[in-house]
Amino acid sequence: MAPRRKFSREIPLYVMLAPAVVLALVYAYAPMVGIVMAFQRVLPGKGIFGSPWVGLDNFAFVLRMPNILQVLWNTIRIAGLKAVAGVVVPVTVALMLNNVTSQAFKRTVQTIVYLPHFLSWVILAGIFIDILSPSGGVVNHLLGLVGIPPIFFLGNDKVFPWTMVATDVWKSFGFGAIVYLAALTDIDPTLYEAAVMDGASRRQQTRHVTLPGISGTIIMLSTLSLGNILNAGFDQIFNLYSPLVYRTGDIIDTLVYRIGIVNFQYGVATAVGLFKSVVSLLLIGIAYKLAAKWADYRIF
Amino acid sequence: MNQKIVKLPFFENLVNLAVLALLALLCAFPIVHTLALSFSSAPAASSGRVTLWPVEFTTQAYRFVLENPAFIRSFGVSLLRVLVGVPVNMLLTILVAYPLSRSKAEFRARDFFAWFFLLTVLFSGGLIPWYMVIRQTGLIDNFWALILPGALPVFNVILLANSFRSIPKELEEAAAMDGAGHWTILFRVLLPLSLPILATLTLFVAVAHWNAWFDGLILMNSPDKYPLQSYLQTVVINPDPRMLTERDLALLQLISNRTTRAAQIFIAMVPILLVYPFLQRYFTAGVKLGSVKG
Amino acid sequence: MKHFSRTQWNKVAGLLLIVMLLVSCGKPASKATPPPDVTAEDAFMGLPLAIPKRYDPSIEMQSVISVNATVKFLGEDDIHNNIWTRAYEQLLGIKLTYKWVVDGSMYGQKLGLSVNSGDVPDMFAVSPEQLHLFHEAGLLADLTDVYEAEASAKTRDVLTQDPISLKAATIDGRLWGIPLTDAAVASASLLWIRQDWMDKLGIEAPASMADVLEISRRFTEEDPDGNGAQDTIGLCVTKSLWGAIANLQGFFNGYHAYPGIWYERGGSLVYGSVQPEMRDALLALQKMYADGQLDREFGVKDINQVTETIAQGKCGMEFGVWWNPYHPLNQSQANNPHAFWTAFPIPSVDATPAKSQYYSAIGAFLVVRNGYEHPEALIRMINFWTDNILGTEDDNIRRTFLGDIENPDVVLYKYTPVVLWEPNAMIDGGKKLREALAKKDPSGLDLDTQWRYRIIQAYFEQGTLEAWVEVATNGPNGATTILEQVMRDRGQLNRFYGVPTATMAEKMPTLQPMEDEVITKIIMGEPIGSFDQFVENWYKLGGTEIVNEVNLWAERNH
Repeated sequence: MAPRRKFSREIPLYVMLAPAVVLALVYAYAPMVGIVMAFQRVLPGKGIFGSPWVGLDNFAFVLRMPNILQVLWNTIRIAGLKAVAGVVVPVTVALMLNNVTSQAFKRTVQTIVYLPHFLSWVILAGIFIDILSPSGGVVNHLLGLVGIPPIFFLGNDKVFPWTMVATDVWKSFGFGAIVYLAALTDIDPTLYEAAVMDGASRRQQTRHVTLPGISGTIIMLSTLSLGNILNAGFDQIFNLYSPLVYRTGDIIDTLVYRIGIVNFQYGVATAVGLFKSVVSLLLIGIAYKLAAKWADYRIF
Repeated sequence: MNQKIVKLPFFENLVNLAVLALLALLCAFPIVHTLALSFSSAPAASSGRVTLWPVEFTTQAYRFVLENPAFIRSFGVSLLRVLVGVPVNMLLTILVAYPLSRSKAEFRARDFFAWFFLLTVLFSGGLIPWYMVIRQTGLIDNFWALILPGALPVFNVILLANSFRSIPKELEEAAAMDGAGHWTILFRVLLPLSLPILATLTLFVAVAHWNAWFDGLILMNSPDKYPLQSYLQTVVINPDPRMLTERDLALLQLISNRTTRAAQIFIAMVPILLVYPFLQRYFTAGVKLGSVKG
Repeated sequence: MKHFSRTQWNKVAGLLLIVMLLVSCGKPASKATPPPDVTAEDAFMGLPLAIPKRYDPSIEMQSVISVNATVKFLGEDDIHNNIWTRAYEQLLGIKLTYKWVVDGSMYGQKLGLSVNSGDVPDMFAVSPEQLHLFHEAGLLADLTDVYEAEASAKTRDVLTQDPISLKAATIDGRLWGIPLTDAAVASASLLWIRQDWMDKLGIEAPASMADVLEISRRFTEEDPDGNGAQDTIGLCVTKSLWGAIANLQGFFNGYHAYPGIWYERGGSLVYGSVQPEMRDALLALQKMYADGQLDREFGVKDINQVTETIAQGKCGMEFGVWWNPYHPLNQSQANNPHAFWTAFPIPSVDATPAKSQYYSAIGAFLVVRNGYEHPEALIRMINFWTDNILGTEDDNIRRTFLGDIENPDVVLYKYTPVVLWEPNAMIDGGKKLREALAKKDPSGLDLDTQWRYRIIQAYFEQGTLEAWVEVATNGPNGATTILEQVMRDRGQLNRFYGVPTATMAEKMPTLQPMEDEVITKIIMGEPIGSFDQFVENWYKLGGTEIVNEVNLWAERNH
């Protein structure tokens, strides 16, 4: 085909993209110019072009924090665990729901598990402190029934990160399950028919048809969540942490929040944001390459 | 979904149902507890006497929130925001997902645009430049500030693009052979087959708009323009205990009130709960043509 | 012609009405003696007000303000049009408009964003850090000269009652903002004890920390709530350890330790949290925790959870500031109408009386934009407030500009950012109330204090249980009385009131949590050696520099 004909085929695509591109340029790329503030001592009123340059000082400021390595590790650990659990649990639940024949039961459960998404961490803090209490909380009560001694979920710094992951998964798995359920509908029913005709059991169907069918969605969502790898959940942790668990519960964002209280320097916050963005980009880039090579799956 | 659901063997089915029921209970318990709190008296709530049923039943918390004229106003703002925002977001999502779902051969600049949009999610200049741009485009204190800056949810685009790609190519090719251009393929072939994902994304977008509170608080110059959640936030924010003075007492008493916070959550949840079953129907609807004839 | 005469009659009727209104409002409504420098002709709805010079023609002033969910208005008023905006315009010739109005929690952020985008209001409130930052950026107007020229006598008095106020607003010898003053001593902690429990168990007022420890033990072991179960604790504390409610600094003060503040020792300023006096207090708390006298989970409970503990009637003592009875201590009555608390000065561990630590009350400053044509307008607005509102005995003025007991939800002074309080007013007011109670004569009191008087009387004479709150705070032996003593010689003021120094800004985000963590863990059982380790680390990780910087600052600011 002559190149010109090819291009005219593509014109509608550009037209479709146009409004979004304009919006992105104005509201996403224009503000990105502000990233330079990471290298400045931002003076109010002087803006981006009038504030003095300080090179890497803002980064050094944060890196000089005595516990920065611990904080970084906490962030990665909590965010990493959440990322894994945030895929495994919703997928499992979606698969389980998929096996339910009664539409009524399915819809009811689907609705109920989505509800925790709406509760804010402010009110959940109060609820969890009660439920997870080592003396009188429901969870420890139940654990006691099977002979497990009480666990101080919110006050024991070894357990705290797991508590954060578990409570966060509880709050958000319903949301994830919806996405996977939608993905399940994309699977070609003829594949199931073929499997059944080959005598595949339920389990085999799941292994050979269902999972591969949504593997694309799983990989995609996992990769995207890598973009969040350094966001371990400020809202949740801020409301639930305490001096007892700083060692394992302090994350980048809570540290930056405390810095912000004594230091109104926007430059520092921007530097941290830039750092997070670069790391996210690297990780997504790596995941993209890996997915393409091993799973032969192009994310886009 | 027209998937043939083969019934599980009895025991497995039972376990499956039991686990799901348990999960549902785990999720329902705090919701019911919060609901009970919202209908309880403040003293009962603050002394921990409320578990799953209201104690000293009262509608005081709801009346406090609802009777404030600010509530009605902000409810209206949020309603408008959803009614305008959802179509805008969905339209943009569809228009961007389609080109991105094309193959490299069909759309040579596909990768470029994919990264173009992905980068907007990863990189940000922070609050100040964002605020400045919104100000420069005249949107501070303007309703459209709640719609335009966040109008393209990239996450949704990626989901939809993937969904488009999973639709059998043969259908598109058949349509193309009949002379269909991109627009026709998109609207006549792909969309009708994508109802579940579209319903899902509509729900996400609606919920996102309904729940958003920070932009309203920071971009509006007057509480009159706050959407619902922004208004509701003003009654639940936790003050820094070290900075309290007795001038804050009224506010402290208000905020400490668990029942107000509980009522706030339900008031915000109810409209979503009303819309949700309506959309849920579509999550599993849509008959995929099993094969292509001919 | 009927048409015309009806219109004419309407006009006449209207005129008559207006005249009648003017006539009835024109009479001065109060018999109180007008303040000294009143220009008698200017009366705002008939009130005797001292009006500073009036701008003619009016000038415009753009400001910003924060409101919160509790701010209510009368009638058709709103934040842009209310008694204060009208007063400024009609009496001072200043048309005050608000560029934006936000919820209190967002004020700092919105102001920062606004200023960084180039929208600087003409007059606005800033935090101490913002004062220095904006000054460095050249955004503020120098107020030294206009203050000298126009501040009234009363204004100068109010701003100098607390010697720190103006100093905090002065940078390099010039004045850059007007401090929004308040009573510093209000932040001093007192020991609050469940009086009904003390009565039940026959316990006397504590005279020493040993007594406090004993009371704590008895509250835990002797079932003061009489329900047959050992479910009460002696002392409640929040996870944040410090603050206005259920704090630990009060306890430490009993041992002459002053965590979190700077004070003089051996000729220089030292940081309280790393001083040796902390050790004994920590050991005492450790024992209390081991004996079950503290909530086992206090380390994860914030103000809301501790409020619930108090509401459930589970705790007998707490260290908190004077207004605690209003909240959260009043919650005790949720389950037990006979519950009530009394305030005690912090007892000491030895023969030297204990001092309650407190902090500078300067949380904000009013500043003027550099380049605004009328910086003196701010001074005039302040004069208007201090000369007429602060300490006025005229109930009509109070009702018009501050608020009305009949409408307790409508707090009028929240409509304007130009609000400061006399540091000494709380103590003086408390004295007046006590005198009136002793004489049983409320006649000299203003409306608000009269209302307090009546409530306190109701408690004693009619046994109105809820009234204990007022008795505990403002009554004859109440919190404000104790605070008077605190201010005299039983208080330890934080001597460092500057903006965080360079090293502080760098290290405190790490040092503070370290401190909180060590204290919490030691109380929960970690060996006291951890504290010594903490002190060593504190100095190593930046504390030494901080101490130097603070002392340098002290030299420069005396």
